[in-house]
This record gives sequence, C-alpha cells and structure tokens, in this order.
Amino acid sequence: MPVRQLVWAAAVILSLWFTGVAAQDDAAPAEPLPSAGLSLEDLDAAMAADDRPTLAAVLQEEALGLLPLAGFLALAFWSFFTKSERLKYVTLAVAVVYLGFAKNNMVSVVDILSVVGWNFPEFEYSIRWYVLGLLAVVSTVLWGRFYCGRVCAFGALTQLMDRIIPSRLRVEPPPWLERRAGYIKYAILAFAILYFIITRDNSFYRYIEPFWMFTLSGTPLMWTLLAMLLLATVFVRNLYCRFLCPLGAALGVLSSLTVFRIKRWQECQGCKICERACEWGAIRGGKIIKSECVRCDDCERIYADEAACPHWLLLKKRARKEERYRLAVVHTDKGGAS
Amino acid sequence: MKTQTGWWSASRIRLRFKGFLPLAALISVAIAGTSALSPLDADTEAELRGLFPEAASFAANKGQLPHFRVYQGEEPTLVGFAYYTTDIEKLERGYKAPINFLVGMTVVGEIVGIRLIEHDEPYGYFSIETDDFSAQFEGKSILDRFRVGRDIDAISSATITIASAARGIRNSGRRIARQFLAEGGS
Repeated sequence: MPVRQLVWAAAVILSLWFTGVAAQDDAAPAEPLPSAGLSLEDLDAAMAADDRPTLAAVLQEEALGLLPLAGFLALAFWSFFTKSERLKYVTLAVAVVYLGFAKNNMVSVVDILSVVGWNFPEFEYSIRWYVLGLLAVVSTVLWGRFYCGRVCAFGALTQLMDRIIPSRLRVEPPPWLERRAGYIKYAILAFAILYFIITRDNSFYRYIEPFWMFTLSGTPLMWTLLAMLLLATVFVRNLYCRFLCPLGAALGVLSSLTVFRIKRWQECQGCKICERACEWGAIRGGKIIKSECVRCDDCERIYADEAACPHWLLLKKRARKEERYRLAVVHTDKGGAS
Repeated sequence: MKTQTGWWSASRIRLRFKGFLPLAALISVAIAGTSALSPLDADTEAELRGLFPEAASFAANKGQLPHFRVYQGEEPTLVGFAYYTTDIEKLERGYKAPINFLVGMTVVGEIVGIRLIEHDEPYGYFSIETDDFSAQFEGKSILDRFRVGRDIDAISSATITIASAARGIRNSGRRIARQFLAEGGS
C-alpha cells in the first residue's frame, strides 16, 4: 500500500515538474546581443517590449507556470471531496515537494502583516501570491482550515512525520493542557501584529515561523530552533500547527464564519471514538472545535463507516431487534395458528 | 549551499545608508543651483570608486533623473553612469517597500556592478543580499530583459523581491541611457 502511494506521489510530482520545465523552455525569448554601441531605436524597442504588461499578457505568459499549481490544488480538492485517505497522503507528499521545496510557495504571517499594513504586492507580478492567499481565505470561510490540513507544506510535512513515526513515541497532552496550549498561537499572532504596528518591521517572522526551511537558507540560530521544533514534533504530533502557528491562528479566527461544517450524528454526544482518533485534538466530547479542525477527514471517515460508527451500529442493532421481534411475532402467530 | 551574508547585514546596510543621507542632503543643499554637474562628498565618491576603480572623476547630475557621471583618462571622457534605482524608478517596489541599489553602467549600457544600499524585504536575506545575486548583473546589457527564471536566476519564495529589484535596475538604467542619447550623447 505505501509503495503504491509513493508511486502515485512520484507520478504527480514528475508530471508537475515536466509542465514547469515545458513552461520555461517554451517561453525562452531570443536574447538581444549586447551591442557595442547603444542606439535610441534599440532602447525604445526594449522599453516598449517591457512596458508594464497588461493583465491579459501576464496571464498568457504565466499560464503554463500556473498549471502545476492548479494541478496541485485540483488534487487537494479531489482528495478532500472524495475523502480518500490515499489521495490525501499523495496530496501531502506533493505539497512538501512541490509547494515546499520546489516553489517555497506558502502563505505566511508576513502576508498577514502586509494586509495589516494595507500593503499589497502588485497583482501583475504576484499572481501566485494572490492565488494562494485567496485560496486560504475562501476555503477557510467555506470549509474551515482546509489550507492548514492539505495545502501548507509544513503542515503536510508534520502530518507525513506522524504517519511514519511509531505511535509508541507519541505523547498526548492532557486535555486541560492542550486547550490552554492552543491559545499560544493566538498570543503569537497578536504579538506579531502589535510588534509590526509599532516597529513596521516584519523580518522577525523567521524566528516564529519555520516555513523558510524549504529555502534551505538560514542562520545557525534558525536551524537550531527548527531542529528543536522538529524533534518536539516527533513526540507531540503537529505541534507547530496546533499550538504555535500564527497563520493557523488567523485562519482559526476566520473559521468561525465557516459555512459547510462537518455534520454530526445525535449519537456523537456520548461517543469518544472520533475524539480519540483526531490527530489535531480538535474534538472534545461530541463537539468539533472548528478553530482547531483542519478538515483532515479522519472523523468523517469513521462517521461514514458503517462498521465503526455507533450511529450505524445502533441503527443496525435496532433493525436486528425489530427483525427478531417481527420474526418472533410471525413465529408466535404461526404457533397460535397451529 | 548558497553564499549569503549574515542576518545582521540588512541593518548594517541601513546604518551605512543613514550615515550617508544627511551628508548627501547637506552637500546637495550647498551646491544646489551652482551647477548641473557638481562635485561629490567622500562617502559617495568611495561608493562610486568601488564600481569604477579606474575613474578619474565623478560628477553629480541633478535634474529629473539624478545620477552620477563617470569620467576617465588624462583628458576626462565620459565612460559611464552611476545611479540609485530609487532616485529614478520611484514607484517600483518589492514585496514590502522600494529596494535601493547603486548601479554602475557604461555609456553603452553595460552594467559594471550593483551594490545593495537599502531594502526592507522579508525574503531579502537569502535573495538580493547574496553575492550571487549581485554578480549576475555584471556585464549585462540594459537591453536584456532581466526576467526572473530566464536571464535572472530565480530564487523561490523571493520572486516578488528579485523581480522588483531586477526591474528597478533595468528600467532606471534604460531611462538614464535614453535621456543621454536623446540629448545627443553618443
């Protein structure tokens, strides 16, 4: 099974990569030779060619480069809507390799600070930024922290770690601690925004956010902090996403608007199966804490599983009972007749 | 691993720039109105000499497109220009703010070298601050297109920053060269 998933992931990554390569080759321009002299005509021609491009021209040029991104997002949504576990892990692997190491394309606390400072990058030159930013906001409003659970490359990395690391190493924080630790990320977000408003400096992001790791360029201090974080993640799964991520906190706040929530059965009130299965500690009692939920599908799979979810088991039991009763009645009726 | 300067270098660059600003302001006030071509203070001259070690003299050219003219030889002949990108392309900005480079260019529009003066880019420390970034501009013609991923190395996650830096360097060079040619220079 894991082999098949790996082959899947490799196939998807390779095809994304090839589209990217094709995009670059296809658009390679004829380089003007550096001339010995410089003429007014050459200059004017060059300046006209590189005028601020129209949106249509940018889209036409970027189309092939945006294809792999669109492909990845389509995969993410496909896995989400089919609730397929296998596809989810393929999505996570592609997120780490493509969005993470290849493109370093992630929404960051820096982008929140840009919005706070009302300082948006120019659209024509920042299409990917707008695509991912809008995706994060819109998907959170529609379904919850979908971005955290399926698109963000660091979240994908820790989820894959959780899949590989033996579960006996895992330490589950007690509920009282987990609840309080969940607030740390809001404190970090508030601190980041305040500090930015006062100093107008956003370069501290790399000490509160590990997404730079995909660029492989950091200082010894940054690498030390990252190593500590990843080591702690071995024992407490998805530690960063659950307790520390300021972007997750912002999307958590936004998720109070979520339109399409996970449905619950009446029987969920007294049942603990999903609570125990939730990798994110987002279920307490029968309730889903939506600011913590990243729409990983784990509980939804249980809840649709007719052999595991008490809702279905109780229904079946009731049906069996009724059947037995009906048989008993039929039997006694027969008995009475004879 | 990419070569890179340390995390402290952004602040160092800014400090150096702050030291330079009041001096430049003082001098420009002192010489305003006297001449279009005027002498420079020691700091600026040192910066410019870093780009043009062979130059005989430099002169500041005020006006719509403020820049420096570089002269060489016994009988001084114009060999190049130097300019701060934010003086010319005032609207160009990176992810967070304008990025200021000092650029040296020959009279035929070939870039001699670039020096990062000031920036405020969150993703600058591993992109525009690196020596690799600056080095690739040496010898480039301003007729080149300076497109990230084509003739300028792409650095993932800092695309907005490096694209803006490249546009600033290219467009300000072209505007100065164009003005010079239009005035009848050759």
